[in-house]
Amino acid sequence: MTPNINLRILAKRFAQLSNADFFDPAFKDFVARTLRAIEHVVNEEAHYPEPIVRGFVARLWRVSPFISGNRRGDAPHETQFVLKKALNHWVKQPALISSAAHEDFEFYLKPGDDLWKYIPATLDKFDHEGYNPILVQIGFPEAYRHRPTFCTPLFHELGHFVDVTHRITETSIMVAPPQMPPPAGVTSKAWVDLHIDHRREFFADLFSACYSGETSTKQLEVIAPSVGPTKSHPATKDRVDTVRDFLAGRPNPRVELIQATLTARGLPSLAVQYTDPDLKAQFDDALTYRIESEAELFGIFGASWKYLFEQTVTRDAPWIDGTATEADIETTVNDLTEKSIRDFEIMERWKSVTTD
Amino acid sequence: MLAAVASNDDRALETFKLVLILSAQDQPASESLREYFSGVLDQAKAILEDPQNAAVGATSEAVILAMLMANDEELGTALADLPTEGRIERSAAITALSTLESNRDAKYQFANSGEEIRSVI
Repeated sequence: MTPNINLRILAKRFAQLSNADFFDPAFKDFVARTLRAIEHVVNEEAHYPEPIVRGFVARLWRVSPFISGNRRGDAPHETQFVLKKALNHWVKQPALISSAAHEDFEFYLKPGDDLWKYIPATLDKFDHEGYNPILVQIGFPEAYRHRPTFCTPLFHELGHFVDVTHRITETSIMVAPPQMPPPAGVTSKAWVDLHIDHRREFFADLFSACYSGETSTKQLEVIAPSVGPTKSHPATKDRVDTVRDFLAGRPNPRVELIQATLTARGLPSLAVQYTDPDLKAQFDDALTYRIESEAELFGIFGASWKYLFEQTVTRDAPWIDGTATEADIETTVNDLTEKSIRDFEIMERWKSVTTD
Repeated sequence: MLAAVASNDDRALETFKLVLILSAQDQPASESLREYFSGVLDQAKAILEDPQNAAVGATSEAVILAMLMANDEELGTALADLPTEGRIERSAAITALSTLESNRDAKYQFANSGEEIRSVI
């Protein structure tokens, strides 16, 4: 099938999508602008060589499920709100976030397609008006949609997203190349790839620690306590030690390399962005915690996790009676956490309306 | 959560490669595409020369390309020789494309043992 036939099929698909409802109105604009680009290529068919049209069509197919993810609106909204705050520290472009709920235990944040980077580079007769949003797709276990306390792995995944967006690890390979020659029996490419994969994990661990402290690494210790290094991941102990050194302000060559790389890339240094809110008094009374700052907003993930597991042991909150199961405690704590974040978001919107 | 990052590395240089594909087919590339290509290649060369300073503000494609060029001599030579202005010869485009593809296709050549990996890392 020629790319031009596909293009006409996609033109119809995007025309239908332009009339659909979206969870985030920015997606309507995205679809309308993309439809304009499709119509442009259809009308200028003779001008664009087939490889250009083929590349355009491939990207349109790839963004299609990304768009559908926003129509469902099934993202863990409160967690997404907090992640966007963290993302704002690292990315200046507007971000379009869509979601993919999974039946299995899978978390990820991956870059969407580069469609709107491709359009200005290749469609020379099209006025793209400087539009170039960053596309993010969040994948999460469907069961955790209303369980923000368990969504802290998304901070680690956000770290990977920021790394890949700015190619921080690749920059680190340029700044501090792996020692060569590689060990006997290992190709140079395999050696570099191994360093890339390991450095990616260290960066994501440290990034996550900036926003949620040791929550992720503690989970790692529970899930994979004595796992040694593999081709794709460093040893658990090395990961935990690196995060602990960072949080304690102890010198660590891995942390120093990442900080030097961020400087070389013109990006901010990794720094702790959270404070631990003392939510016990409110949560004990089954009340939401009033989050006072962005730092507390990040900190509530670790604090609610800690509170939840303390209560499953001590059961000293007045609302936990003799019949309450661990599942009841978990549901209540997640509910209080979700509502605390939602209250902060509502207050922020209210302040923004009243000050504008 | 503990899986390696889902990567779109294989696609990161697709737009860059388009100029080579068009040149290999003796088709013209638009000015905007040539500008994009030259921008990425020039930035990559600058990063190769001075990674501490030239990576500020460079595109992510340039960083990837610089890293590939630094770690694959054949690729580095094939790309460094390409003109950033004017026409790219068909044979030069085919060579550059083929080295980019073979670099992408190279796989890990490691034993699986964690101990062996720990011993070399």
